[in-house]
Amino acid sequence: MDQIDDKSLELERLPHSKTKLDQKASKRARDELEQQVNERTTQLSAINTQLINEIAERERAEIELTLVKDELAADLKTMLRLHELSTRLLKSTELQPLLEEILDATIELLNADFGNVQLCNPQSKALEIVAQRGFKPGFLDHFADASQESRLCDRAMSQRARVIIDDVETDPHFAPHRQIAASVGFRAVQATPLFSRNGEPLGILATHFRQPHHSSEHDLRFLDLYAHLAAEFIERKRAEERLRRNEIYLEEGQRLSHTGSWAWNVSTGEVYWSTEMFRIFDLDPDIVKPGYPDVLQYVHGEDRVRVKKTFEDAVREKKEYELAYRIVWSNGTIRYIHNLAHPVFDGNGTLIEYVGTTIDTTERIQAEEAALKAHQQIDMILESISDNFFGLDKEGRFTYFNPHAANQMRALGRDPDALIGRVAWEEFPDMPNKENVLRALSERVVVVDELYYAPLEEWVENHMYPSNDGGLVTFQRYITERKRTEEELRKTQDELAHVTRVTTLGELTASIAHEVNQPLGAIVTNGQACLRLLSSNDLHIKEVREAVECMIADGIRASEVIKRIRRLLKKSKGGKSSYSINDNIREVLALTASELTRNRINVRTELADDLPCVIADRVQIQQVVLNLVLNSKEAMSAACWQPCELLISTEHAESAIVVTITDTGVGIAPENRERIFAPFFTSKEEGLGLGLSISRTIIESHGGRLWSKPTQNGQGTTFKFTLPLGEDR
Amino acid sequence: MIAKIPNQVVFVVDDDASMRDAISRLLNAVGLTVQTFASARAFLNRRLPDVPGCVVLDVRLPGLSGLDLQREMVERGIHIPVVFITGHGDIPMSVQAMKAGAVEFLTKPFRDQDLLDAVRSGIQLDRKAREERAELAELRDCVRQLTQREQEVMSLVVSGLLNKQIALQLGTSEKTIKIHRGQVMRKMRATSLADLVRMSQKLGLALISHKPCKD
Repeated sequence: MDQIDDKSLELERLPHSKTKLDQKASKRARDELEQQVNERTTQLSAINTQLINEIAERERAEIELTLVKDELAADLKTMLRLHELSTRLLKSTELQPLLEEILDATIELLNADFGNVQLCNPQSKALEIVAQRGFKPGFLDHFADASQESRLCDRAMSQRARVIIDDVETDPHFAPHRQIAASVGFRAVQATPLFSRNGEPLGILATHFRQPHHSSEHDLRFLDLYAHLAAEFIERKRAEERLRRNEIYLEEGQRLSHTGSWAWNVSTGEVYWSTEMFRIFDLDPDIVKPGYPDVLQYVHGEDRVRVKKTFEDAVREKKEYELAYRIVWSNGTIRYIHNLAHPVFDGNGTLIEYVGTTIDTTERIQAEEAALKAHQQIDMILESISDNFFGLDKEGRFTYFNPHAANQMRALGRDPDALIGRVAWEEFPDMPNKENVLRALSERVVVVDELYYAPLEEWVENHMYPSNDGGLVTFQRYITERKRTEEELRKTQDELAHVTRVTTLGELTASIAHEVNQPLGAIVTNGQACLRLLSSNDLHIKEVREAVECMIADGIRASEVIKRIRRLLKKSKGGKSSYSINDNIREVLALTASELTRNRINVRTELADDLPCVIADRVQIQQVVLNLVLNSKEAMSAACWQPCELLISTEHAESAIVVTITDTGVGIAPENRERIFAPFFTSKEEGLGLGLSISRTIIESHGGRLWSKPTQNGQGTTFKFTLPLGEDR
Repeated sequence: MIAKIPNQVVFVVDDDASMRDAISRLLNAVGLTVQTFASARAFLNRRLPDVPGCVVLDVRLPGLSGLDLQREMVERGIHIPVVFITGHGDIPMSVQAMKAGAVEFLTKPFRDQDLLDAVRSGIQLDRKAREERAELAELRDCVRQLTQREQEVMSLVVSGLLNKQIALQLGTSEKTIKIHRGQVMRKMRATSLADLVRMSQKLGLALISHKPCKD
């Protein structure tokens, strides 16, 4: 405008110069002037146009300038914002809050509605959502299901470039996920990959928009800057966490293994102790500052000089060293320490420091000592016991002899050391119990046997126990002396049994006389009948023959009675034979029949037909039955008002024969139920009181039992005894 | 063979079969008929022939013993004489047996003659006892025919009173007594007064205590 004003002023000054000239001149001048004016006007018009253009240009330039200024201001603002964001990131001490912060900032930055951060799992290499905003669980599930190629983020990762979808409805790449996007409620999405400093893909920073969205170049540029920053932070945070975890692992490892580590700087004398070092020495890291030679004060007095010398020698010779010593805690506890250290040199070979580990071996040493002690104790026990102790492995090879067993081997002319590792039955083919050893080995059961070993002229008892290693441990004891004692005892018992048998038979004299008399009476009568038949005129050949046959039978019968008695009177030789227990009962009843009859005792027998044979001393078992029958008779004659019945039954029960003798006698008072089996306990005036005591001894020596109980109806007594059947059954 | 009712029977009760057979054989040899039993119960359960007899009984029997059987026989009115045999007799037992009326108590082995004698005397005793029992039964039948007055007259007659004395005692005439007396003699089939006295002696206390019959 100022320019235009200047030109109009110039036009006003022109008429003053025209008046000084003539008319003609004035006309020419006017024409000239007009021409000049026209020219001028044209000129001015051109200038004006130029001016206008210039002005427009200037205006545009000004606008442009303003725009640049705005842009600069925006960049500045962005830089400030970035700085602010990075400051915020710095404040996050943990990885997770850091990731959340990054996500929030990104969402804010792009004005997005949702977002998530996905990181590569270092093991599986797959992306995992580690932080998210605004998603429902359904979307996350879809994420887990989606195949690698179709996934947007995986695409961004593999292409190492951002993927942007401005509208999921129109983008053909997104077609498979439209439904999910619709259900979550986003229309636009971008996924920016994060890279570590050395270019490794770290993960994805993804944001989502409810409406179709196109991010500005500026925003995306800014996002790149921020993503770079965030990646760096994530990487650093991860490294920090890894380091921290390693430190924790190391400390935990040191604590668990009682291993401390330390370093000693040779030039500065500075000492570093790991936490465990303080624990090993029972020192407080806040109070005590470790150093050499201060540390020597904790070393046990007896070990101190040695420790000092070893350490100082090693330092002087720049050598590794290993050292075991004791330390003493302030409370007086002694701990065992094992120290291992080596020197560290710089590039020039100058010794810089010593690094070492210190292990508290107290527990280990104590355990070793305890084990050693236990071992010594076992050795001592095995050596002190008077039994022979052998160890066999699962193949039957000798693994151990205690001193007694070793002596036995020497007595047999064998070198015990040479026998170790040799198979027992190959070395001793005359081994009498090889079968038992094999059984204990194969069936893994405890086997005990007794045998006479001729080469040693000894009876031995072997206890074979399966051991944990699949072999056997065998204790062998000499039992010759015991056997002899047992034999003597058995003889004494037999003598006593014999005496009582004789006594019992004494009681039975009248009954026995009757048993003999009966056939004798019949013989005499038959003889007399014969004489009468013979003296008559008629010949009674048939009758006489019959009579004589009866006489012979009765003669045999009488002699049977005598034999039976002689058998009972005979001294037992302790020999056992196999026979049916029913025979015992029938014989006893034959001997006592008249005695029982005389006492009006009705005898009933229920003898099982198919009893297996027992292996027993026939005479002794018969004595037991006789005793019990006579006891019952005694009990019943004392209760004469009752109907007297003696019931004898035999049965086969599992692995034994059971004999039951029940009477209807006076019964036994409860307080006497066991006493009746005591020696010299008797209710009879003439009884020795040994009958039941000896009966029980006999039955028990056969491995059976003898006991009494009241009968079920309360009248009388039941005596029962068992005899076990042989093992081969 | 047609079973013949023997004149007499010996019952042998012994649980020992050979002894039983031997005794049976011996008795058969002298012509005696024998029935054998293995127990007292078997003997009691058997219907016995109504002929004179004797029991040879073992003291020691299972269940009911010989002495028990003897007692049981008395209780049942079985009057057969008993000869005891025992394998091992003792004195108290034999005394008890003899007191209870045993004919003999023999210890096995016994002499055959001793047994035969005992058996024979037993049979003889039984025969006699049977005859007496038969006679007594006959007399009782006769007495049963007497009226009360005739019985009174009879007891007074046998006590030795004269007709006159009887009449006086009974408060009737001598003639009436005479008629009663004649009736008594006829009904009793007495041949003489002495005969009637013997009869009354046989009847013994039975007559005196006898309640007159209603007829």
